[in-house]
Amino acid sequence: MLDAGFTGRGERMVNSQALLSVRDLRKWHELKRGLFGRVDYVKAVDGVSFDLKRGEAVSIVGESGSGKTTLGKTILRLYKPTSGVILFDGIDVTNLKSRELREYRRNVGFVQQDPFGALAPFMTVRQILEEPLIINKIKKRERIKRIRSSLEEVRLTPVEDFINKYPHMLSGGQQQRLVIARAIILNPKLIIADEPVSMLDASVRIEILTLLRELQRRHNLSVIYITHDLSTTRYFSEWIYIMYAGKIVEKAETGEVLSKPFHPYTRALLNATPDPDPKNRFVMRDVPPGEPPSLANPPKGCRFHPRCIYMKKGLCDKKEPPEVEVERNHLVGCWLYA
Amino acid sequence: MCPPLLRVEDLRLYFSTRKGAVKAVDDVSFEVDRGETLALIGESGCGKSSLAKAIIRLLPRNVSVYEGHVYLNGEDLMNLDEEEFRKTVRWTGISMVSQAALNSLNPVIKVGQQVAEPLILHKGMKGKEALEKARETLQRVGIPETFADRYPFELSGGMRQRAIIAMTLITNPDLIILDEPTSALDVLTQANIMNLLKKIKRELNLSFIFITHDIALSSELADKVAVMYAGQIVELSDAERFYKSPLHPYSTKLMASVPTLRENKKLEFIPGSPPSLIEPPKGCRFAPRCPYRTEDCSRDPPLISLGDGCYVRCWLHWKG
Repeated sequence: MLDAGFTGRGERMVNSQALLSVRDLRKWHELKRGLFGRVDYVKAVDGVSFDLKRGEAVSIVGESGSGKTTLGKTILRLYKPTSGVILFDGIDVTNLKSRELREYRRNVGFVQQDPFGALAPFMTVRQILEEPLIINKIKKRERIKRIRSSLEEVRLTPVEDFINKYPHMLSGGQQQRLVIARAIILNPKLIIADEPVSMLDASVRIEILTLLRELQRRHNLSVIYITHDLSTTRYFSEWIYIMYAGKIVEKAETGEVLSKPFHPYTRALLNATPDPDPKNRFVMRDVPPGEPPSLANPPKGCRFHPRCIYMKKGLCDKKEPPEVEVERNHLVGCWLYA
Repeated sequence: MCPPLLRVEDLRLYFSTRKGAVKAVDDVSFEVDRGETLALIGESGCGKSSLAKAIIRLLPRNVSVYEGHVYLNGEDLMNLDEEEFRKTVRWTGISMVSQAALNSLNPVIKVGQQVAEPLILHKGMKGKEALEKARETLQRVGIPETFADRYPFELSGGMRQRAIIAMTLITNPDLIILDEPTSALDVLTQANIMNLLKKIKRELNLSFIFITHDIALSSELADKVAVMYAGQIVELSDAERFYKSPLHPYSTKLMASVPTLRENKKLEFIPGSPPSLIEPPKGCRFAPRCPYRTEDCSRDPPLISLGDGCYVRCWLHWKG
């Protein structure tokens, strides 16, 4: 277990198998400051814990407003956590500053949703890829070598055809490959991909996800794949974590979640996701009513209780559910199983 | 025999640009019967939305070619001038939920007023009566009557989408075009809206043209499926047949790229990218990416009839 021993900055942890450990992480965005020092928060991430092993991929699945993007950005340390601990490779990175933070970010690649928005329109492919190398003081000769090899890795080949192009000259899929090339150019250990394919077409989606999977295997990378789309998770991750209103409500291996979902919310998500089948048009889907709650004022107790058909009065609406291990390595935050 | 509700014949829509004419819709034909839903699927830029715009005649200024026939209840709409079309077809005959619909509500007008507006404008109904009808229609789509007096910002995304569906329903059109009606919504909200569409399809015996890039989602509503590629329909098929065994190589490949939740299959993607609509490849437009291409494919592929108005545009199925 984790204890106070970790809080010292830069301290090395010896017995950790996990590349990334997140403990009780919170990120509350300040909403407004009232009279008498009263502060309102949007509790985007509210007590999230998990471990991610080297070489493994986890899908974080949630709807918009579930806090999944904030979680990704907090792990990247684009946001300063409100509380909790982030351990990376045995080092506490929760409160790193300037130089050490740069060091950390070198180890974590980021792939955003909108590739075009992530690429400076006035820079060529070469400049885009060279920038992180310059920032990290890598010698010119080495830079050229790395640019070439990372373009080859994402198969933007022949390299000469791409290296002097501007982002707008590339297709959506190629732009996303370029973003991935930039994310891996510093040889990171972890990639955080936030909805990397949601703006792309079906076939291009699979192409990009397959590429990410290949890179993960070839370089023993860990991947956090943030998505709203359950159907792709089967093919591209070892683990699925389901997020609802700032909390992870179910954690298990991919096949487990898809074949034996426990949490009512997970079940609802699975129910609501169609597979191509002509019979679909004759069946109504079982969908819980309502909308996800506001994170500024989430419901008391279990956050899913206002929409849950199994809600037990006096329990689910009062007390926060514990995390129960329903089967080996299958954790569910629900009173039904407590 | 009575004519089909909608019949599109050899429809073409080209846009002129500096680089040349963009052949967004190029020789498209299909039929939709009363109570039937046609799902129009394809990758972005294949001409799905342009086809919708060509049918409901909401065209940008740079149209260079707009020809063919669009029959609604047997009447050729291409013979109508702009004014007649607006008066007799748009909203009353065909209405549309567009992709950006969620943001198309006016923020400073109450929801009920906005839903009632097509009735006042197109059916000449009095304000009070129209508002009454609007409340009724809102209820039908699952919005409590009292919400008619609220402003759009007070409604969630799913509710706003319902209000827009109510707006398209209120004039009792024969056909509703749904252009990516749920792509901005969350998974559960999307499922709720699909439930609603299934319900009104059944209750009102309405016809839909359902445009989507999401193949799994298309099966939620489709009785027939049209696959578009580079401005043309390459396969028009019965839903039962299509989702089990698509025929055109593009459809097959597209299906193979759809991840499934309930079974594990080998996912594939289609190498290369769709062609330019300015200068599409000669012959079959999919040929450059097709694993089954032969010498024949450099010539325009024939439309091979599958019966029931269905067809596939491919030399592979040519037996002559």
